[in-house]
This record gives sequence, C-alpha cells and structure tokens, in this order.
Amino acid sequence: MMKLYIDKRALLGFIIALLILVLLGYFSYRNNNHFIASRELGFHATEVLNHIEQTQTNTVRVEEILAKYIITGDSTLLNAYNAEVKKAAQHYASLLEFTKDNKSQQIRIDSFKLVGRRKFELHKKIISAYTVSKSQAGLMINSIENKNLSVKITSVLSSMRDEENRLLSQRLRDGQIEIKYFQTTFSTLMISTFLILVGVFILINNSFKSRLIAEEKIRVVNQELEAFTYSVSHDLRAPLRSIRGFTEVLQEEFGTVLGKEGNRLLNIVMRNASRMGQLIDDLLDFSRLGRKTLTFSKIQIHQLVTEIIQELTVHEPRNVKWEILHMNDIRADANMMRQVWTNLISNALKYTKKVDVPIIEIGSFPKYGTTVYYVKDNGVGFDMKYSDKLFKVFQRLHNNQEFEGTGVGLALVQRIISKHNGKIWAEARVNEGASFFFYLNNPTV
Amino acid sequence: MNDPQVEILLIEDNPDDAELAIRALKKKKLANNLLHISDSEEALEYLFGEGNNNYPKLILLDLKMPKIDGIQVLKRIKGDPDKKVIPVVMLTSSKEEKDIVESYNLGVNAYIVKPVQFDKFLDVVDQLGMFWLLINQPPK
Repeated sequence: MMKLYIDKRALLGFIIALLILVLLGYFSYRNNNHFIASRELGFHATEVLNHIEQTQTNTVRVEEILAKYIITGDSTLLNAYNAEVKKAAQHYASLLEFTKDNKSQQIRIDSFKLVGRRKFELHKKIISAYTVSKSQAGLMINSIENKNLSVKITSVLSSMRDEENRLLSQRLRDGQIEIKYFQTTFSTLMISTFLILVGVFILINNSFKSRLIAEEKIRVVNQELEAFTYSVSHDLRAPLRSIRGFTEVLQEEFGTVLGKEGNRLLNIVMRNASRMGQLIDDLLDFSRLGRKTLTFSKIQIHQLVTEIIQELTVHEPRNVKWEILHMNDIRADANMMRQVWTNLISNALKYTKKVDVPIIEIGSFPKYGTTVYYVKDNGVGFDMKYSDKLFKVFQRLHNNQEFEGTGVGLALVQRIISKHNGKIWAEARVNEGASFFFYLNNPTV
Repeated sequence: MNDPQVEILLIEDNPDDAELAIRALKKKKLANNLLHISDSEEALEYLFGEGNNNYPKLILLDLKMPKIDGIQVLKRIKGDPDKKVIPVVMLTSSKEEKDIVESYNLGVNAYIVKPVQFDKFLDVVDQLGMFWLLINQPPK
C-alpha cells in the first residue's frame, strides 16, 4: 500500500473534494435524464392533443355525412360514414393507449366511449328507420337526444384537451423548477470543491513551509555541532599534547634520577595521554563521517585489499597466511571503502596476533542480488551473544591490555556501510576466529 | 629586535606548545636564530614594521590564536608582494578539512597537525626544518 506523508486534514479535504466531484457527475447525469424525459413527455402531450383534435373532427364529419345521406339517399355515403367511424375508433384506441398512465384522462375516455356508443347506436337506429320512413329518420337526426349526444361528445373531448394542456404547462413549470434546483446544487457543490481545494493547497503549502523551517533548524544545529567538534579537536588535544610532550621531556632529562619505578609511572602517563589522543581522533573521524557526502567511483577491490595489506604489514611484518580470492569491483566512495577495508583487515591482523599460524581469507560471493564481501580469520574470535555490541561506538569485546583499540573502528565501518545503504554482520566463535561480511546496496559494477 | 639574521619565526600563543616546538628544534640544532612571538598582532608588527628588510627564512604559524588567527596572518603575508616568498608552515591541532583547504588556497607551503606524541613531533620538525632551511633556498 502507498504510504501517506500528507497532512490528515489535507487528505480529508482531497477525499471530500473527490466525493463532491462524483456527486456533481451524478447530478449532471440525473439532470440530463430528466431533461430527456420531460422532452418526451412534451411530445407525448402533443400527440394526445392531436388525437383529441382528430377524434373531434371525425365525430363532426360522421354527423355531417349521416345528415347528407338522410337528405340524398346516396348509398355510397354509407361507406364514407363507416370509414369515418372506423377512423374515430382508431383515434379512440390511440388515446386509450397514450393516456393509460393517467387515471383522470382514462375516466374521461370511458365517458367518451359511453357517449360514443350511445351515439353510434342512435345512428344505427336512424339508418334502419331511414329504410322505413325518410321523414321519421329526419326527425330522429334533428332530435334533441342526438343533439345532446353531440354536445356531450364535444364537451368530453374539450375537457380532455384542457386536462392535457394543463398537464403540459404543469410539466413545463416542473422542468423549470428542476433546472433551477439543479443550477443551485451544481454551483454550491462547485464552490465548495473550490474552497476545499484552496484549503488543501494552503495546508500543503504550510506543511512545506514548516518542513523548510525544520530543515533550516537542522542546518543550524549541524553547524553548531561542527563548530563543537572543531573546538573539541583543537582545545582537547592541546593540553594532551603538553602532558605527553613534557612527560617525555621529563623522562629524557630526569629519567636517570627517577629510577626504574619513576620511569614506569611516566610510561603509564604517556601511554594514556596517547590513548586519549587516539580516542579523540577516532571520535572526530566518526562524527566527521556523518557530514561527509559520498563521491562514487569504480573501485578495484582486489587491488585495494592488496595495497592495504602491504601498508599494514610494512612496519610490522607478520607471518600470516593470506588467502585473497577473486573479488568483483564495486561502485562506492573510494576513501570510505579504503577505511572499511583497512579497519577490517587490521582487526583480523590484531586478533590473530596470538595464533601460531594465522590465516586470513578475503573474498566475495554473490547473494541478495549483490556481492557480499568477507574477511575471515582464525584469531581469538568472540562470543556471538555479544554480537549486538560489536558495531557500537566505544564498545569493546576485549580489554585494552589484551588487544589495543578505542572501539570506534567497527562503528565507523558500520556507519560507512549504512551510508552506502548496505549491511555488515559478523559470525564468530571464541578462539575459533571471526568472519565479517558486508554488502553495499549499489549493484556490483 | 635587530638580530643578525632570524632564520625561524615561530608565531605561537600557547607557551607550552611553543616550548615543546623550540625544544624539538633545538634538539635538531635548528633553533640558533629562532624568534618566538606569542602574539599575532606583535608578529605582524614585526614583519610589516617600518624599515625591516630582515625576513626570516621560515615562519611556523599557529592556526588558532586569539585576536588575529593564523589564517588572517597567512593572508597578510601571502598578500604582500615582498613577503609572500617567505615559506610559511601552518601548525595546528586539528585536521579539519576546511582549515587545510583554506590554508592551501591562501598559499601555505606546508600544513602540520601537531601530534599528541612528542617523538612524532620531533620527526615532523626534523623533516620540516631540514627541507625549508637547507634544501629550499628562498629567492633574495
């Protein structure tokens, strides 16, 4: 999962803004659907009105044709009559279908159907009466009953028309209200998104600002630390130099007067002054390392190791059996790598001092997708239960009388290796030697 | 201060360090015409005083001094057309890179970190004095 470093409030703001955007999308979609639906409803109403008009026309024409027939007796007019009735019936069927979701219109259509049927039956009677008596038929067609039926039909149809017009304008009004509602919601959501994003921007900006301030503070603290180590390096060393120097002068000029015990005591003073000097130097090296930036270059490890062995043994020849195996080159900081190997090799030399046949093996093998380098000796080793103390500053697993040292070397080595995103570890057994392994995260060249 | 010829000028404010340095130089028989000035201001007066054409053959300069520090003294010497030829060796307690870099930028001739161990200091002084007094002949 992605790790979040952002301010919680900013995250909340982002989430709300996103939700609002989703809501906006939903509203737009819904509004669009409404728009389409109300347009369809509009079409529908016009269609219904059209059918009402047609029905009206048909019923008027049916009445006209029948009257003509009664006067002329032209039997072809009966066909025309039937055709109009059929048309009226078709329009009726359409109206029935179109208004099936509107109860009040259905009721009106029912009453239209009732009146229409009565009218049709009366017409049938008129036509059959016509075959018997022309005058009788003429009386019937002009009868109050027939006229009333015509008026009723017209009134039902016009009430249907009114209803449909009312519905149409109602829908228009509803549509307008809906549009207004949509516009209000849309702009409210828009403005709130904008405000939230502005808020989030301010939050992020502020957190950047506070980070910059924190960085500046760290820089100041680092500078102070640098000034501190600088004065430690100067002021702590000066008195030590005098202690050591004048003790030496004392020994040189009055050594014979002081006798054996006096000289032994002076030696102790000098040795400790030197040791303190070494401690200060090592500690300064260690603290200086934290401030150093890495300069990468390709390093030929095999050559480097050979050089270091030569440097370390030139003043202090030892009969070590060296086993230097092939090693891959590496990309790292050259000075720091030299320090790492010098420390590891000089440790191996130091801790094999009391072994009859010292063997030191140096090599590498591929593991973890990179190259692991190792220095293995058959010296005094150490107890693995103390291995966590091994790489800590001023932590030692042997006393100073046995093996000299300040306890900074391996801490320095570890710091260098972790600066290279690498890892160092050790395996050892008491009196059976120690092996140090390390790898850098940088891929082997 | 009208010595016949000052060979080494030691500018060092710490009397103990100065004594050790002079002892070391004496031991190597290099302290015959040595002048020790413990105040940097005074040292500058000596070097830049009116009518003084008697330049030392070598200046040993402590880096950390009150009032005017070694870097500033070095700047004055190496900024002067006549005196910039005098070899200057910086003596210091630290191996702070920034000091070393700055000193070399200003044209120091050598840079020595005063070791805690006195015998090492003797070696250093030995090599130093031999080279600058015997091998290296500054132009007149």
